Amino acid sequence: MNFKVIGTEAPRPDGREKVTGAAVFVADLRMPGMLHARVLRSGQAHARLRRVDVSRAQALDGVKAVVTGARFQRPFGICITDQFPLARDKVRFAGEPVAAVIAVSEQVADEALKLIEVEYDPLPVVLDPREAIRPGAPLLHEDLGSYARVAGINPCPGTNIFHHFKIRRGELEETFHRADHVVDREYEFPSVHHVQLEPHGAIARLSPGGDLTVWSSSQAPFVVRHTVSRLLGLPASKVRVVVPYVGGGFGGKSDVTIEPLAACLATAVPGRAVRLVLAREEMFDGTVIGRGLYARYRTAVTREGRIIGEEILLTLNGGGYGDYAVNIVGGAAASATGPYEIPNLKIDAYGLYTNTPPTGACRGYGHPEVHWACERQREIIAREMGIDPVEFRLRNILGPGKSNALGQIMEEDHGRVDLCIRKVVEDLAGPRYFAGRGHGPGGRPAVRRGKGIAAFMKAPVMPTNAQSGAIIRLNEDGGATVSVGAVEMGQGTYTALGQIAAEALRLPVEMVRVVPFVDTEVSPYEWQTVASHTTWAVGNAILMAAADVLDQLKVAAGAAFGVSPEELEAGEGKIFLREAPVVSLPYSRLALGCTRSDGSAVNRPVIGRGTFVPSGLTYPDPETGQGNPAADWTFGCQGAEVEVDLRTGEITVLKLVTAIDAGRIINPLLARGQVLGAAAQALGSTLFEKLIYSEAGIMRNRSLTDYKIPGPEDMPLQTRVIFVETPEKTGPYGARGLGEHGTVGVPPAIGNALANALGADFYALPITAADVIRALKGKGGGLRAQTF
Amino acid sequence: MLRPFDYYRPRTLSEAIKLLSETGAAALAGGTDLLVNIRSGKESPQVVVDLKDLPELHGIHLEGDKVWLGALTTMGEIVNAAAFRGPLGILSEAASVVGCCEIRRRATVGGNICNASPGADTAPALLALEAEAAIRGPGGARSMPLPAFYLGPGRTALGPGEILSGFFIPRPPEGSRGTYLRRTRVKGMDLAGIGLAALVIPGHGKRNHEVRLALGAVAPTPVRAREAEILLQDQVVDALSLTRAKEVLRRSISPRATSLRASPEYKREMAGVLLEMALSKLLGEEYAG
Ligand SMILES: Cc1cc2nc3c(=O)[nH]c(=O)nc-3n(C[C@H](O)[C@H](O)[C@H](O)COP(=O)(O)OP(=O)(O)OC[C@H]3O[C@@H](n4cnc5c(N)ncnc54)[C@H](O)[C@@H]3O)c2cc1C
Repeated sequence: MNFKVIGTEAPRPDGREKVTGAAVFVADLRMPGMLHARVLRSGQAHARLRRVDVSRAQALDGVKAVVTGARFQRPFGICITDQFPLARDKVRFAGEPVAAVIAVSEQVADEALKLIEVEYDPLPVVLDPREAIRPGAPLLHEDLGSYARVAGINPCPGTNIFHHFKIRRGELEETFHRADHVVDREYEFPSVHHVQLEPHGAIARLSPGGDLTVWSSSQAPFVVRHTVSRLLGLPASKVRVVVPYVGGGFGGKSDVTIEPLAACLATAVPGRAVRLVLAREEMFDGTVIGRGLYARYRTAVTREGRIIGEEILLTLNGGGYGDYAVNIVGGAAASATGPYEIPNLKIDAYGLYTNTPPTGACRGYGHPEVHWACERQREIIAREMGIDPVEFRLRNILGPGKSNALGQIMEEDHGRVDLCIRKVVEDLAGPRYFAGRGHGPGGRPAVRRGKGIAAFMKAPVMPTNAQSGAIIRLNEDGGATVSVGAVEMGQGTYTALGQIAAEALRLPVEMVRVVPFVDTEVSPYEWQTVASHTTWAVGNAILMAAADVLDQLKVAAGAAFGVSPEELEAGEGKIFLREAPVVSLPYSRLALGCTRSDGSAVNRPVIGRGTFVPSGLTYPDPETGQGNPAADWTFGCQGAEVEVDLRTGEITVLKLVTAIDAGRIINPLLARGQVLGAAAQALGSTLFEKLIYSEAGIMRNRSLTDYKIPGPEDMPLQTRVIFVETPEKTGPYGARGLGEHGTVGVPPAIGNALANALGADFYALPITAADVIRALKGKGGGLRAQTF
Repeated sequence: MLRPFDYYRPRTLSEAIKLLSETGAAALAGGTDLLVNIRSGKESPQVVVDLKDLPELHGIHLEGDKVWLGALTTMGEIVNAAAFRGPLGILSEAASVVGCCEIRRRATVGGNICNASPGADTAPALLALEAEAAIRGPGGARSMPLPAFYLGPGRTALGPGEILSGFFIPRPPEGSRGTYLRRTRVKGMDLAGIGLAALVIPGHGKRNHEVRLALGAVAPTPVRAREAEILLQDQVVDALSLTRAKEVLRRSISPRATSLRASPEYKREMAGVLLEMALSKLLGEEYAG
């Protein structure tokens, strides 16, 4: 195909606004008569609420209302209805909202918070999912069995397990019997935070007419509408959710976070807008956190280096409430093998309630967590068996005709993970580097270098019926205005979607505008902007809407020319006669009603409509996990070269390479930015990031002083992104998702590079300089490190 | 959220001293610690007295055999000052790692010392240079060696109404060289997990007349490491003396168990490693260590 717009580096329409600071985010909005809310958060990780006395706070000048959980009796929850906007009988994590003050200013609200008296009866605290799963562990949700939940969720009442997901393939016991080699290891990916640049914010107003508007920094405006309408008992049509630009989401603003609370607060002061914008510290313990997975892998291998069976146990820290961690359990299990065919499998994935803030979606959604384990495991197996780790991967690699853990048969258009591996190895240069200990570069005895790779795969984790819509209105100048329900959160989605629309409408990209906000009252429905599925799903809806526009234009032009629409073509903003292209009408003449010479109207305004739902997705079988829940897979490989200072333990990542088969690349500049940004974020979780709690469950590093994320100085000097473009048959112009994928392979690639450099295996993230020193002194042990 | 406060910007020292003598008054230099503390509620002054218009607190110049460093000198100004190259270069090296470019434009050396964080980056350098703190207050002017200025974490010898006006820094003999090394969790902006300043004053031949050492983030205040210094004084640094000095240094520190920036175990290890790295940087790789 010969593309005009697809594959070009079209500039971002929002670029200038954002670089100059003119772009408007929720925190910038001001409503007439707006009030301000601040939240009193629990200082206990697990306790019964004995008494919440707000009388003194209520009496403070400037305070309009003080609300507690007593006011709101309805629970909510995306998968399990297990939480309340404000704690009622119990608090289950430190940071959980206990009361909120609505006042004339944030400052007054802050003063009032100090006047609220809360009495707790402390309960035993459990922070580690491996302990939470044990019989006799402190129980968080006594009523788990009675909670409403969506289909496919499998809680175990009387325990902390809110979801147990199973995969069963083949025969495991017999497989381990005939194995020539068995490798058994445990890995940890700790809880992290997304650290979005923009704090979570919501402004809510209940109008005197009884309808509610929420302006929010959400990635999921339609989920917010659904949740809030149910929570308040309002029809969906009476709840309006508006999302301007979002300053970074990474999953941490998906589903719902502070919106149910903001909406409830609005009901306490009808007619007034209530603004709730979190402080940086509150983002850490007052929204969702990410990851938090322990994994145990037991792998059976033959002498020839074939993986014949694997037993995997995944325990996910879900925090105080199930939230969206429920689906991470399944997503992690589905990709736990990595991109390999393993005929015999037993995978058990558990989501555990613990007394940490709830775990939500986090860029990669279970995939970086399990790949940290499985790609370290692959490296260790290869080393123990004396097989080149690249060769070992290729011997077991998933490809056309082979089946993954869910039993899905891979096809040609799923892409080429083998090619991605080869490209990364080629770019890192010298496959020999992978074997044996690393060496210091000439004349610097105190450093060691090493290289490592990790292959990966990822599917969007989404409901089987995730819906997307698009509306294209043609304007009088022949240009188009495209409305979608997807959110722009920095990823450049409106640029890419604009390019798809322009290509499909045969218009220059400047003639297409994607509406730069979502308003549930006017935007077409969208499940939510997550799972790297927007270009793919919303792109497909746009293709249909554009086809609808072109059909309408051809019918109109046909009527004007007195020919049948089939004789017409669209190109360069015109409809023309295929046989005689000079006979043409520009879109501008047709858009809002073309007239004949006598003035009579030929057509109605052109409004195109497109809707998309993935086809053929099914729930996995509850006993075996087999089925078709994953819409498409994106494969890739990442490689790292590291340098370690043996005196200080300081780790420097010299080079990061990613090869990804993301199908057709719509905008190479943005695509590279997405992959690199994801890799940088994953570099942070590999080397620095971890939420640290006191024994009582209080988060100790809830600020950027002590929750360190990588800065430009930490980025490798050399970064490369290589696109392998096997077109996706279900994607618009062959595109696949790529927004999260750059996170997936970075931790194990660095971990493998460190093993090669130091002769030490690290099993727990983050790997710090102190860990390196301990390992070098042979003081590892546990999950921290082991020398070989 | 910033709590409201009254803001004064006096033009004279006496006015400033008067304002600061009131309870609930806090001095403001660059504000990079003070405003952070006000926002977090750690401090809630009713009156903030901006010192930036006080001429006595500015400037870098020679006074006899000492260099005068005004308390309001910013990290950026120190990095660019000719006075802080050569023997006094240790201070500009320390100032250059503070925060980021934006912070270094505001953060002052006086604020860094008055904030009395155990990990303040300029403190080990000033300790190694044996700087004296110059104080102005209701009782007039007084001065004291830096170790006496530090009373504990966040606590200094400044009394009500007293202002740190600057430092007198004796110029070490020509040929002296110093360095400041620190360990942080990220390569980007971070606070020190441990910092070490070393100043070598040459003696005869390969013998050093004096090796001064000071550490940050290893004790309740920044500290001189006298015990380790003695082992290196009037010595040729060789494998043996270095090993002993490292050992003594490791033992002499008392890091907090609960630090989020570095574990006591790592700090102890790094105290020795940074010493060795500093000496090999100052004496050349060929020293016997
Ligand atoms: C993002 C960030 C990064 C940072 N990174 C570092 C770092 O890497 N290393 C480091 O050491 N520090 C760091 N800091 C801390 C801070 O920048 C320094 O301590 C800085 O030197 C403080 O100086 P200031 O002029 O801003 O002090 P201010 O905040 O104005 O004052 C600090 C304290 O000293 C008092 N005070 C100030 N001047 C005087 C005076 N002349 N007389 C009496 N009292 C006075 C004030 O009342 C206040 O209590 C960082 C801070 C931030 C916000």
